[in-house]
Amino acid sequence: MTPTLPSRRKARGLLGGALTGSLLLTGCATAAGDPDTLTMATTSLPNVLDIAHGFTDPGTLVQFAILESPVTRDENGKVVPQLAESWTEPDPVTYVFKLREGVVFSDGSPVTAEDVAFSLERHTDPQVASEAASMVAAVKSVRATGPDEVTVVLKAPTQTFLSNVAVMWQVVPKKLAEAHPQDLGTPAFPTLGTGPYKVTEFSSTKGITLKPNEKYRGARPAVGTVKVITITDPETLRLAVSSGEVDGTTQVPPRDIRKWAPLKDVRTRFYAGNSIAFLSLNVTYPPLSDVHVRRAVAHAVNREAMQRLVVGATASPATTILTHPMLRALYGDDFRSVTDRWPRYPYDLAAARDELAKSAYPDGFELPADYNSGNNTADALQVLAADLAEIGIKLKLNPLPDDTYRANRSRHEGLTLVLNDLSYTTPDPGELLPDLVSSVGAQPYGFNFAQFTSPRMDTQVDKVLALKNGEERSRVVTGILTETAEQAPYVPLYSVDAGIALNKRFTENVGVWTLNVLAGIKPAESR
Amino acid sequence: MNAALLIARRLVSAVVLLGVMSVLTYGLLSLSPDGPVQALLGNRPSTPETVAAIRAQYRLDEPFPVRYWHWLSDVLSGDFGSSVFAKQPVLTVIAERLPVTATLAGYAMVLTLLLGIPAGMAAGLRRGKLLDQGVTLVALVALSFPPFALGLLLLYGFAVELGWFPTYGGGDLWHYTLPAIALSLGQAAVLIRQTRAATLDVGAQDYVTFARARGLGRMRTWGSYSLRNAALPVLTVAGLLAAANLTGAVFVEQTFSLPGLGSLLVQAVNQKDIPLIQALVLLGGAVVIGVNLLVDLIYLVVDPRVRHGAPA
Amino acid sequence: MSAATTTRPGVREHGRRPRIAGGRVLTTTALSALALIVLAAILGDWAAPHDPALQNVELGPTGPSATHLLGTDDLGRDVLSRLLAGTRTALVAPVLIALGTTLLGTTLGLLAGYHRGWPDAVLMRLSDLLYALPGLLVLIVLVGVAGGGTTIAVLALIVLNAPSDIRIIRSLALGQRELAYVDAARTLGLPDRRIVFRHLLPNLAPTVTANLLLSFVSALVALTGLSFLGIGLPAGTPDWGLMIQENRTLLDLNPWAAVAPALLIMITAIAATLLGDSIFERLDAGKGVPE
Repeated sequence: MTPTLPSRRKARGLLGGALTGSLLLTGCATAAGDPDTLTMATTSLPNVLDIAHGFTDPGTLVQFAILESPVTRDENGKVVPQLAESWTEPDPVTYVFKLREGVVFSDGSPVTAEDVAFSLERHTDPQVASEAASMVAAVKSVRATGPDEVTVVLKAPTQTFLSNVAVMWQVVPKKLAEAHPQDLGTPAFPTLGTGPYKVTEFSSTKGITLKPNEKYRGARPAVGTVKVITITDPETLRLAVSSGEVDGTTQVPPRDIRKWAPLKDVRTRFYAGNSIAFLSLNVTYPPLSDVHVRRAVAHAVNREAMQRLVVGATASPATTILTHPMLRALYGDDFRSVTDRWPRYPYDLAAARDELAKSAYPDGFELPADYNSGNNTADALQVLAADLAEIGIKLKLNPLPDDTYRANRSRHEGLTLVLNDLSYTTPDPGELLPDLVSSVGAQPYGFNFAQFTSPRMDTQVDKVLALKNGEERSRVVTGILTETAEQAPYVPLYSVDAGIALNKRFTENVGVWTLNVLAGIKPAESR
Repeated sequence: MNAALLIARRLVSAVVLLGVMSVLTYGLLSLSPDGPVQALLGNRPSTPETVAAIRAQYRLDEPFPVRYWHWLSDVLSGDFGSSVFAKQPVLTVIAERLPVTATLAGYAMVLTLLLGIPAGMAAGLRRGKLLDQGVTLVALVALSFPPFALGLLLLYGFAVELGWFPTYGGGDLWHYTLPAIALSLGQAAVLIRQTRAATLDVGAQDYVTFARARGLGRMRTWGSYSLRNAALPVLTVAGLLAAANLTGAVFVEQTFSLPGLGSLLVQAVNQKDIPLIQALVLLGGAVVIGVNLLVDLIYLVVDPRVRHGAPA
Repeated sequence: MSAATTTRPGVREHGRRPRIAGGRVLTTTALSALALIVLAAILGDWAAPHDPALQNVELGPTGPSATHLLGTDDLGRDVLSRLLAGTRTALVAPVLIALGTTLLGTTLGLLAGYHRGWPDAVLMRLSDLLYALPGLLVLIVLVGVAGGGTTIAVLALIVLNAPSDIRIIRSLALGQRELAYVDAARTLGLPDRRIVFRHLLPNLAPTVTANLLLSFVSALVALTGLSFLGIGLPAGTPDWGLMIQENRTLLDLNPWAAVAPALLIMITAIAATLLGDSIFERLDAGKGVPE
C-alpha cells in the first residue's frame, strides 16, 4: 500500500472497524502516488480493442498505444511513415508502401506484408461491418506485392486516403483478424500489435492494464504501467481526479471547466479541437426550403449564448462549416481573413425580421424539432426558441431519449432544425465536405442533415477529393464554402476545444493531431 | 397444499411467466425499427452496404415471429447469443458483472436488515412514543429523498470532503460501503415501516396478550412469539427488495461508477443489445420468481395457519 | 405476498388509544404544508414575482439576491417563479398516477379477492409478470418508441404500480368475504356488485386511502428519477423534477436552483405520507384492517 494522508488513513481504520470489520484492511486498491503507474479514466468502457468495432474515444485511447499503422502523422497533422519505411505514388490512384524490416508483434511473431494488407482490406468487407468502412470507401484493392511491399489501388484519386489510413489502418496478424472478424480485441480474443504497449488485463469491471511491449523496436515508454478505468458519471470522474485516485482523463466536459480549473495538483488544459457545431436546416422541409427563412433563422441565432450554454468558454466561434484545424491547414493561421469575406448572418433580430418578410412565410410558422434530452443542448435550444418566437417562428421542442434521437437522426426521420456537434479525425477538408454537402451524405446514415445537394456541388466535392493540396484545391473549397454560406443550409456555431486533465505528477504533450495520447504523457521531472 | 405440489405448480407457472416476459421484451424492442444498427455504426457516417450487412446479420428485416423463434430455439439449446456491443457471449458479460451487483446487493441487504428490523421493532414497541415518532420521521425523510441525490450527497460528504472513502468503482468491500449505504437507506425505510406495522399487528394478537397476562416478561414475549410471527411479512419485503437490487440499483451504480447489472441493463437498452437485454430480463424475472417461491415455502414451514387453507 | 395476514375485527385495540400530542402536531404540520403546496399550485402563476419563462441570457446563473430571492438558473430565469409555476406540473402527474393506480388496483384487487377463481389466477400471474419486469427498461423503451412525453410515463407508471395495490386489496378482500356480514348479505340474495361496493369497499376505505397517498408519494419520487434520466417533460417546462435535472450542474453557482425543488419534493412526499398514515390510523380505529 502506497502512502496516503495520515489523517485519512486513521479515519478509515476507525470507521472501517466499526462498519465492516477486518475485511477492509487491504484498503484502497488504486496505486495513487506510484510514479510508474498512470491511471486514466474514460467515461465509457472500451468495448473492443479494434477500430472496426470500437471506434470511440475510450477505445482509440488504448488502441493507438498498442496498434500501429504503416503511416501515422506528426504534430502538425502531416502524414509520416510508421510501420512503412516509405511510400510512393506511381500514379494518382496507386500507393506502394515499403515496409520496415524485422518488425514483430508483441508475441514475437514477424509482421508480414500479408498481415499489413489484410489489416486494411478487412475494413472494406461489408460482412465485417467496420465502423471505419466509410474512411476506406475509395479503396479498390489491397495486395501484398512483395515480401515487404503492400500496394493499394483506389477507385479514384482521393486525397483523404493517407490521412484516413494513418488513423484506422491498425496492423494485426492476418490469421487472428480472419478468424475473428467480429470479436477481435475482446477479452476472449485479445488483439496483437506492434506498438509500445501491450494489454495485460482487459475486463469490463476492472478496466484495462497496459505494460510495455518488450518486443517494441523503439524506446521503452516513459510510464511503466497504464491503467484505463471507467467512470461514467462526469461529476464522479472529477471527484476521483480531484482526490488523486485517478491521474487524468481526456474527457473533460468543456462546460465544467470552472469546476476543473481550481482542482489542486491537477492541470487542465484545452486546445483547439477538430470539431464543429452547427445548426442544420433541412432544405427539403417546406418553410425551411425558403432561403429567406433559413437566413432569418441564421440571423436569430445568438451564437455566443448557445456556445456558453453548451460548452462554456472553451470553444471559439465558427463562421463556416469546416473545423478550425482544417481551416488552419488549408488557409494558414490567418484563416479568418479568408472566411470573414463570405456571407455571414450576425445575431440581429431586426435583420431576421426583414429576411422573414421577404420569404413566403412573413407571418411566421410553427417548426417542430426533436432534441436529445440525454445531453445539455436543451438550454441552448431554449434560447433559440425564445429568439425565434420574437420573429414569429414558434419552435416546438420535442425531447427524445439519446438512443431514439440518434437513431432517428441517422435514418433522417423528422429532420427539421438539428443541433449537431461533429468531431473529425483528420486535417483534410475532404473528410468533412462529402458528409455535409454531397448527395452521398444526404442518403440515410449520411451526415448531410440539411439535405443540401446539387449535381454541381457533387462535382466540386469530387474535385476536392481528387486535387492535391495547393491553390487550386483551396479555390474549390472556397467556392463550396461560399455557396454554402449564401444558401445557409447550415448555421455554424462554434468549434469546441478538446481538453485533457492530468495530475501534476505527470506532464503531457498532447495536441489535436496526437494519435497516441498515452505516449505523450510522462512523469514530471521534479519527482 | 404440500411443498412438493407448490414447487411443481410454481415451476410450471414460472416457465410460462418467463416465456411471456421474453416475448414482451423482445416485442417491445422490435418496435424500434433500427435495432442495434445505430450502436454498431458508432457516431460516424456509414455506407449503405455496411447497414445492409448489419441488418442481415441481426435479421432485422425478418418478421418478428421469425426473429423471436431464432432467439428462442438458440436459448432452448443453451445458447444465449453474443452481446451486440461487447462482442462476447452474453453469459460471459453477465458473469463478469454479477459479482459486483451481488456484493452491492448483499452488502446493502445486510445494512438494510441491521438498520430496518431493530429500528422498526423498536418503533412498534414504543408505539406513539418519542422514539417511534423519531424513527418514523427519519424513515419518511429517507423514503422521500430522491435516490440519485442521496448518492451524490454521500459522495461529496464522505469521499471528497472527508476523504474516508474512494469515489468510484469496485474493488474490496471498502469501495462498496458508500454505494451500499446509498442503496440501503431508502430500503431500510421501507423495511422499518413494514416491521413497525408487523410488530403492531402481532403485538395485538390474542396469544401475545395471553402471554403477557401469564406474566411472561416483555423481552421474552417479544423474543419468542412476536419476532417469529412478525418475521413473515418482513421476510417478504426483504426478499423482494433484494431481488429488485439485481437490476434496479441503476442510480447508485451510475453515481459510484459501479459496473453492475443495473447500469449494464440501461446501457444495453440504449444500444438495443437485444440478446443481452433478454438474458438480463430473464435473470431478473427468475430471481423475483425464485424469491417469491422461497418466501412462500418458508411461510409454509413457519406459519401453520397458512398450511391450513388460508389463501396463499 | 400477504398470505399471513389474518383479519379479525377488533384486533387492533391500540387503534382506539388517544393519539398523543406529537402525532397531532405532525399531522397538522403535514396538512398545512400540503395546503400551502396546493395553494401554490392554484395561485402559482399569479403569485410568481417574475415571468417564469422570461430568459435573461446575459445574466446567467446567479445566487439569491433582492430581485431574485432564490437566484436564477442557467438561462437567467427566476428560480422562485419557476418553483411556484412548477408546482402544478409537479403535482398533476403524480396525482393522476395515484388516482389511476388506486382505481385500477382496488377494482382488480376486489375482483380477484371476492370472486376468486380464474380472474384471481389470471390477475395474480399478471402481477407476478409486472413485478418481474424491470420497470425502468419498460419506461425507457416505451418512451423511446412512442417519442417522449409524460402521457406514456404516466400510463406506464399506473400499470407498473397497480400490482402492489391489487395484492393488498385482494388479501384484505379475501379475509372480508369470509366474515359474517358478507355471508349475511349473500344469504339475503344481494347482488355481488352491491356487496362488493356497498359493503366490502367501505370496510377497506382506510387501506385504500393510505394506498392513494403512498402511490402519490412513490410517483412523485419516481418521476423525479425519470427526469434525471431525461424522460418526460420537454425542456423548459417549469417542473420540480426537471429543475433538479437541469440545474444540478449549477450546484457551485446557485445551489438553490437544484436544492429548492428537491426540498419541495421531499416536503410534499413527507407531508403526504404523514397524512396517509394519520388517515389510516383514524379510519382504521376499530376496523381491524392490518396492512
